[in-house]
Amino acid sequence: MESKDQGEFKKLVLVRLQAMPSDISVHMGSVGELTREDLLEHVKKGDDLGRKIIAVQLRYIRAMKDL
Amino acid sequence: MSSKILITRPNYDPVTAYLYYWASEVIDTAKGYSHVVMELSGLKVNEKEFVGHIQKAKPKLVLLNGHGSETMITGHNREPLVTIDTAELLEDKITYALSCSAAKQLGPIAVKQGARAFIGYENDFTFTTARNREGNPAKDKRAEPFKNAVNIVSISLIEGNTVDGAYQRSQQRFHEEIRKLASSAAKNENKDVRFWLFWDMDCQKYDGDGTARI
Repeated sequence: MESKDQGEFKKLVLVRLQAMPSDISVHMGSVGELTREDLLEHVKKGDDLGRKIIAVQLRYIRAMKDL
Repeated sequence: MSSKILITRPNYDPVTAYLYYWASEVIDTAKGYSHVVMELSGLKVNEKEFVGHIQKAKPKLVLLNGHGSETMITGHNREPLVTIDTAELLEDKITYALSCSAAKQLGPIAVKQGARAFIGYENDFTFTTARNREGNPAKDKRAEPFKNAVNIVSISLIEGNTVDGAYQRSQQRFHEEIRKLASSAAKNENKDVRFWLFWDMDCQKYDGDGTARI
């Protein structure tokens, strides 16, 4: 079960993904071509890819100050 | 000093079409440095041709482009070229794999079996494209930052830099591309590309001798 913090962070990730332009395609080798809607679905579902996106988003946000 | 370089360039789906185009810049650079470039492209990116070139020509640098997994790198139509069971093919070579996840298992195993070094990605290699440009990688600005950051590994090695030097230059180029897209001069719709650049930067790594060079 998600903790409250995890749930809040997931909402943040969804907001960030929602802001992506609709004409971007994300090509992820083993998964194939993903649209913004595909990415949102994976994160909402909390499947392997969704969890990976959330984990990397967390590292990204932490790294942003150095980037 | 001239070295033998083997480069694979499958071109059978949208992803490999981009990698195929990106590799043109690498080949031009290698020829400019008078290296002997052996290029396997299209249908020739198969196991028989790959193994044949590795065994006969004994290249010092192997640049692999194509789909992959933690345990293998593939060629045309996802035919495995090198796997964890044949990792000894990379013995005594520096390898850079622009392939998903191969640095997770294949890379370390190859190094244990005598590869000088293996640079690659521990996660799915990811890049963005503009949907209306996918037939023309050369004009796709959404993909260009990725090309710039990943090609610098190959180009650095070709120029005689060490494995660690090539890795550091690529990491730095990822940083620069991310910063460029964060600037106020960048178009808003391109700013979302930053996360996916970070995704690749975050999972890029090398195993083996960081001081190795061709």
